[in-house]
Amino acid sequence: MSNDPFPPFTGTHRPRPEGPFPPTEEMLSEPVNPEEQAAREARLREAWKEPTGIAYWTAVNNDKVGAWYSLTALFFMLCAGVLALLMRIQLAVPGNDFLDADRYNQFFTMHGSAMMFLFAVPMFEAISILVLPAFLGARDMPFPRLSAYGYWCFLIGGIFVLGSVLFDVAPRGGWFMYPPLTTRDQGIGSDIWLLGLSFIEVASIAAAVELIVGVLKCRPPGMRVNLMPLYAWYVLVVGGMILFAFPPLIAGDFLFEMERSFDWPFFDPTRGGDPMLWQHLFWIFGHPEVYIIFLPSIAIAAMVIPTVAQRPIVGYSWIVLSAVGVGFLSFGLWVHHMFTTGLPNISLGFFSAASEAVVIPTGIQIFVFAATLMVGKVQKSLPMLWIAGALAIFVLGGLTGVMLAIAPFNWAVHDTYFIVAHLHYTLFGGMIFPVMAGVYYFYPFFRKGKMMSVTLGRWAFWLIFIGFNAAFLPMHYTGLMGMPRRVFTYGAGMDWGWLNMLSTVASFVIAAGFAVFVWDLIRPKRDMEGRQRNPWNAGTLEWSHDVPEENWGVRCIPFITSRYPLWQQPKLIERMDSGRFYLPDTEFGHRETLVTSVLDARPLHIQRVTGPAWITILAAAFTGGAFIFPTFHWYPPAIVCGAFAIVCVLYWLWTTTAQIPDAPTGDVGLGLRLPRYAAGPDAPGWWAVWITMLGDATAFASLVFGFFFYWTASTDFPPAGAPGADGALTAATAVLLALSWGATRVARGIHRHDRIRAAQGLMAAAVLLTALGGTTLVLAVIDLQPTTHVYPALVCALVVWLAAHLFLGGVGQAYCLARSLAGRMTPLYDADLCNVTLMWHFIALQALVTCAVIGLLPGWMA
Amino acid sequence: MSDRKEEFRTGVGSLMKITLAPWIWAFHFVICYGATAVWCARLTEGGDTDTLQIALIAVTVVALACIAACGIVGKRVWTRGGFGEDGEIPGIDDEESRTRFLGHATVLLSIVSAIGVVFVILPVLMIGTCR
Amino acid sequence: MRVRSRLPFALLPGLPGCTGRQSVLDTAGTDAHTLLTMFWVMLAGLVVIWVAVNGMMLVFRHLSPRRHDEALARKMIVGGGIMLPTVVISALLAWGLSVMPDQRAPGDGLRVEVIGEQWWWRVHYWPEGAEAPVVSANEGRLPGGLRTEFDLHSDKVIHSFWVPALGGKMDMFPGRRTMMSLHPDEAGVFRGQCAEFCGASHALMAFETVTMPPEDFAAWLEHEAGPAVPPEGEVAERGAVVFAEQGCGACHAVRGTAAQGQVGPDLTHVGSRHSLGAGILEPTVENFAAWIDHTGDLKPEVEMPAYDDLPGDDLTALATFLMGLK
Repeated sequence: MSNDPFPPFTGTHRPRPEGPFPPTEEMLSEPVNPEEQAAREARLREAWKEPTGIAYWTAVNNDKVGAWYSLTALFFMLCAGVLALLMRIQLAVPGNDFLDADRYNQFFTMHGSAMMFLFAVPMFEAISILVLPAFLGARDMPFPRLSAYGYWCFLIGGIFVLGSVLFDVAPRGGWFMYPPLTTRDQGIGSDIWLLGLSFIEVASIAAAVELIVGVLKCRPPGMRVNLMPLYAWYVLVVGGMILFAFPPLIAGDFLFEMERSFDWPFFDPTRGGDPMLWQHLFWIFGHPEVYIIFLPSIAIAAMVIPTVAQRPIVGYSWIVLSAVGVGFLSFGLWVHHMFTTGLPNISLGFFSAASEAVVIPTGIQIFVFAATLMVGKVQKSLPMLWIAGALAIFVLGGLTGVMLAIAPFNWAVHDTYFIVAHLHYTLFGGMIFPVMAGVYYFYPFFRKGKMMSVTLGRWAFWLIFIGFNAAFLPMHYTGLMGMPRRVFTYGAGMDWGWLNMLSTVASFVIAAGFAVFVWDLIRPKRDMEGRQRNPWNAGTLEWSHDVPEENWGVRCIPFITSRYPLWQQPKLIERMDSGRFYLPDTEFGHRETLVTSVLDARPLHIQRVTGPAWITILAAAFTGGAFIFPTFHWYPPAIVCGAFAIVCVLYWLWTTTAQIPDAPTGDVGLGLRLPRYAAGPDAPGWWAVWITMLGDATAFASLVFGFFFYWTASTDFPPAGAPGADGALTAATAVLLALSWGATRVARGIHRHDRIRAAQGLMAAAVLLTALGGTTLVLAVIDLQPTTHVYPALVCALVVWLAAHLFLGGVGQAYCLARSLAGRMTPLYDADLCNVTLMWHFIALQALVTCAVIGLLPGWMA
Repeated sequence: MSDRKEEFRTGVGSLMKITLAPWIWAFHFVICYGATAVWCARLTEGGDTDTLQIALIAVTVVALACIAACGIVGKRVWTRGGFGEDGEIPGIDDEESRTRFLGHATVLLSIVSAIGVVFVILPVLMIGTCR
Repeated sequence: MRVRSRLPFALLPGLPGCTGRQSVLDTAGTDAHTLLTMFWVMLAGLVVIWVAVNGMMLVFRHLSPRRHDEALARKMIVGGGIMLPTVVISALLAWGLSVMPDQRAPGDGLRVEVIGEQWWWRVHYWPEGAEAPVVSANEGRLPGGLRTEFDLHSDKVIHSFWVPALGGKMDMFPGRRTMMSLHPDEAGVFRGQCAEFCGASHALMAFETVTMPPEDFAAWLEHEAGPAVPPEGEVAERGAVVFAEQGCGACHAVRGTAAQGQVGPDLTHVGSRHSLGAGILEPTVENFAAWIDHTGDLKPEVEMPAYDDLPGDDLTALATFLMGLK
């Protein structure tokens, strides 16, 4: 650093943004020298060059990963659809023997699981990865390799789970996996479900982290929160929901797999367990999940409708209210899946009330759309046809939902075909149709000006719309006539035959509609003439895309002052094309994007973005191994895979994240000079850690909830006189881990003040303290026998959870020490230490809570 | 460091402020649900809910008062300078209009949260038993 | 590993049941009446709202040549999005909450304990003050005009008890007790079925519920409490011998005989029930024989083994004996 031409920045004197912001009209209209412009474009093109040949699969660009992601999700959806058709054939006539009971049960389990975990949620992530950067005028997602890693995890996990159907070993306990049926189940089906889908849930959380950070920190300069495209609001809300909804299920999966693999009796009533705990954890996930699917799809409608009406949305803040309101209320609905479980009437009443309250924000969305169409000049188009179909279907599904939220009525039709009809109405209306609208609407964006056929689109619409209603409307009646769900056959005497035959025939009409759609989607369109950049005359930023395609995302990052910039900022496209906005160049040939502030999107720094890599695929493969081998109880290879996965991730972090930049600051154009490095709350990486740990804390909270749950559910929890964790060792653990946290925190502070040696000493001490704390933790419970009763089992589960976190926390501390020793972390460039300290805030909290719960709580409860 | 922490506080802080009312709804909901579960499972003999009713009504009054406070503050921010009476927020590209937008969203979320809180207390009033 | 089976489907059309006997729309109990009224009212509201919302969308999409006032549009959001649903839903919610306690009201004396098994129902009647239950299986009998309390739990996995014509359903858990009550007000035979997925033969776990005048019920219960009637006729007597020889008594009880098994359904009065195999077959000699001959084909993964090596005569004799257990 001796020949550094820039001022000598230090840990305490860090570079800051310098130069004018916001830019004036004069600055923006200043022309750029064409030669210079061409040279910049060449440099950008080189930096963002797409790998070719076999290395194509190493691409991490959001448009590549997003396209693979969405096509894979579509493929899984078609597979799950085929399972549905096979089930419909079986049910077409009473007493059919097309499928036997076991295979039917596998099929309905896989149909639900695949549609939810392999299609609906991943499709949201796929579409968001695909379009969000364009909505925000960003070059790429903030962590492209994380998206790629998530995709490869999803692919491996999806093939593993869905493939089990072909080998007749698929899970067969329903997508809700209620124990004790599933804990008692022989064979590996339930393990495939638990481990395979946990693996995919991890990928979902990774995507949620990335999308939240993308929306908060990667908006174009000037795009304040009140100017964000509505889709971004929905993504923000849904990302937050994933963080609070998925972790309880992961905690549940953890307990469940411990019971299946090691006979820890969490759900076994003969040893103090309770199957209801799983139902709670599953539906705390399961109901928000429905809205996690629904909101992003309705977000597509919120993008399409202003375009169709050719005017800005009426009631922008109402949509925000609606998204946020639904996000919150959806967490108070889970027991409406458990209305018949015999909980006290008052408790049911709370959930009945919240289930009804959620109607209000949901309804507001629909009225906002209606209001926008009312005051706009509506142009007929294929996307609008699908949106109208979506609303017709969704409103009916929503209204039957209002009926079902009334607990007594629910007692009558719960677990009948009435529910099957209701849920398909909400999911087709709330997810399939809006997503189809989105495909037709965004297709010219994905394929750079090519359009899908209007004729085929109409055919697909009417086939699916008519087929859907003919198949599912009668099911309401079938359910009222008494037909329960999940039955593989029924008797001729029940008079359900004609209704089922109707549904079966109509289901093939739906399938025909999808066949038309898929053909239209994939048929070659080489002769497509008249490539239009913005065929719908839309107002949002994604339609400023480059036609023909460029790999750099956006030519330059625009300055935004309106909600519909293409309508309201007339010279925007021209200026973007000629590179007059921010970051029109890449100084050192790296991939870069801008990071801005959360509220007002003030430019903060230049973020280096990672490029193609094999390591993400390797990391995903090893992670897959770590989840898949335990299915067959092959633990040694699983542990080896887990270790290699950690090595891969460390290599990936070591070589590409928090790199010391070529220069402390860089010119981003329009007179603005920004830092090239950020640590702490400025840095997207710090936000990612914060958000991930929030999700992690939710999972931990679910385990602690288990403790309270057993206490309220049973009169002898903890059992009188049962041995618990050793008090002295538990206290020692708490002290050691608090010290480890303190050492890390102090190391970060003094490291900034150039006391590098002392900081390294503290980091080494922290690693040691963590190891010691982990040891005392394990010793504290070493004598417990978790198979005997749920109480020792839960204590041990908390210890296993914490021990895993201590392992990761210790690796983090050692990583910082190694970075410092290798000269890759300096007082000025200390993002690693900031992030690990942040992680330790959460670990220390979990450690103290764990010690209190296993050490102190049993005394108070007894 | 302090200015960087600022980004986290003002950024997330302001966004979290608009969700204050829904958070109150959520806490109210959890208290009602948790108190009922513990009361009916551990505390009551014979399933009467009189004490529970009184306690939860008190909690509800407090929750509604807090939500009303959120709404009033939001309303002030939203209509600052006499704007927004018709529901639209004029001008959108300055800091002031961003603040007013957040105020408007706060008001709307307060309304929905208040309705939610009233709905959630209904079962306590209408069902007087642990059965 | 997994048991593969093929149902001999020639038998299945014999499944008992006729239109409306398992229908929410065809009610025979006070709770079910309430739920049905609720359904019709809500359905009417649903139709009105659905037509209004979609009509509105249709009008705005197609027939909207003049530009409407934006302030009006905002009023529509407030009115349609907040005010209208708040009023409608508050009323509906209050109604729903108010009827909840009735459906779990305490009974008038009789308590019926039903235990879900794989895939059948153990039924114990506890008349008021009884010290031991009257044991039966796979059929419910209820006195009309009285509220009967159900005490529900299960053996291994979760099931759900449901007689649509009489009222709502309630899940049955291992290790937990749930409670509901029913108040039939019409005599008849109604079908119930397990509503919670419980494994391979979830579809084949049903039962008949017979509602009868209280005095008839009392007579029936007295008979049900008594021992089995002795076999009548040569064939039935031979059947009783086969029953003993084959060790049926290890799992099944026939009170008044040596058979005291508790694993399977009590067969003391099996011939008087309205169905066989937990609601899947008409109770005839042929069906009894078919059931014993290949249980697993009729009910996949059922615990009772198939006695397919039993000579035809013995099978018929056994079936005749069982049919005679009135």
